[in-house]
Amino acid sequence: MSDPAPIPREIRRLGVNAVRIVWQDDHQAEYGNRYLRDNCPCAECRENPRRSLPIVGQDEDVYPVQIGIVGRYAVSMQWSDGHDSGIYSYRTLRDLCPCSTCTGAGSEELKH
Amino acid sequence: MQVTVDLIRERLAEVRPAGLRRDIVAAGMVRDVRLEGSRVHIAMLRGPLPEPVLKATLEEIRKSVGAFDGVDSVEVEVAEATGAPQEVGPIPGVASIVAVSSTKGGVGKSTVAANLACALARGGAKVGLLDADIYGPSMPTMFGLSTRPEVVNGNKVRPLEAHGVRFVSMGLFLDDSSPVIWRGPLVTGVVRQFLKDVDWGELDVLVVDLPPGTGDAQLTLVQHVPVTGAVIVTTPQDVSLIDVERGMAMFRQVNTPILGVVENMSGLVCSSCGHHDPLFGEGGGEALAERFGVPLLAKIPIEEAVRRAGDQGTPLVAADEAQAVSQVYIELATRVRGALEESAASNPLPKIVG
Ligand SMILES: [Zn+2]
Ligand SMILES: [Zn+2]
Ligand SMILES: [Zn+2]
Repeated sequence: MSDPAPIPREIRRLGVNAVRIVWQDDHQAEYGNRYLRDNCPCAECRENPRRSLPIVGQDEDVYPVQIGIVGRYAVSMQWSDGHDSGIYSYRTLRDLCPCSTCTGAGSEELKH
Repeated sequence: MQVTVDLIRERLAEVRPAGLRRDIVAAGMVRDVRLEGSRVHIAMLRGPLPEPVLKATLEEIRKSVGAFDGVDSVEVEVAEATGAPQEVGPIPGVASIVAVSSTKGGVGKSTVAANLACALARGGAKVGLLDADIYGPSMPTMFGLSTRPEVVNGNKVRPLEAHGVRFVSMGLFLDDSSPVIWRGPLVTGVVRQFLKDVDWGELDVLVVDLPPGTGDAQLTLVQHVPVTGAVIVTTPQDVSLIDVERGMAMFRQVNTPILGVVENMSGLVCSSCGHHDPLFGEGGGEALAERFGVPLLAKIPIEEAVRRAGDQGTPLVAADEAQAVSQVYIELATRVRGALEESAASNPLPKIVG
């Protein structure tokens, strides 16, 4: 059986740019809105992937209008572009974590 | 030129708050525009705007819409667009939710759910019962009420109430002619509708009677209902470890804590002397609890009176609380409430802010 999924303690919208997630294990990171939007896990978006870099402040033309709790395992995001079918499981959000620890060397390259 | 809603929208599409790359219409912030005589009413979402930007934006809206000939007043209503208040859980007014499940049919799950609900109510809790057993809704029979719940305030469903329990059967909302094939999307739709549309009022505990099994329908339900804790009902003669394992895996997958196991029909209580005979051998629930590390919450003896009471439209706990079985349920209710409180405290939902 897999490890229990991590659970966020707080999900905070940071203005037009980003969403900060603080996890119950104190891990935390800021997710750029465009990055989160492009990684929408819904079937439609997965079929038409759009890649963006996991950095904040890049091309932020979209933001979550509403974030809702779905059961005990996920949140729903209603984006300002009208898209609202993605259910982001906590597992998915953690896997997407853009912090340098989670992304390893990749994030170092982005800085240069 | 006569002012129209379309013209107002066009003008709103010129408003672009600082820091936003799009105008407020394109960004989905304008929810409604109404024109009543010379008065304009605009409903908008605050979106991500910080306070000073919001203020400036509202000022700009009032000025530019107010500049139309024939407009005397511009009223802008701004809704905060974060998630629902989180302290009480995502179903407004419902403090905690316990799911009653079983990995197969025929273990008396619905009887347990109904009696648990009555016992919780008897203990002073405000209790709701969502009969989500779409394959065989049994609550209407058990509570002696099969009328369709009323729809109030246009679109809110008001639960029926009996024996201190407010209850709704999802099955009552199905067209009788619709085949009982519940596929994911259909269940998802109905569940979302229910979470939104049933007006439970204030509840301490909502008991959800899940359909037996661990298929798509069950998974969809537990995915969307923010269950505080789950109870697994089993019978001693029928303990299939693989089934239970499957049930537990399903709840784990959606981060739902398991409160414990209820062993139903765990023996026969003699109706003349109250003497308890283990009917199928002792210890199924205990072995289960030990193996999976969850507590055995109750062993409920078989009693003819339970079934009879159920058939007559009154769960036994409500019909005769002096019965030995009723006492077992009352004890179960106390444990479940304690476990729910513990679970809610140690598994808080994320706070959504900003
Ligand atoms: Zn999507
Ligand atoms: Zn990280
Ligand atoms: Zn006897």
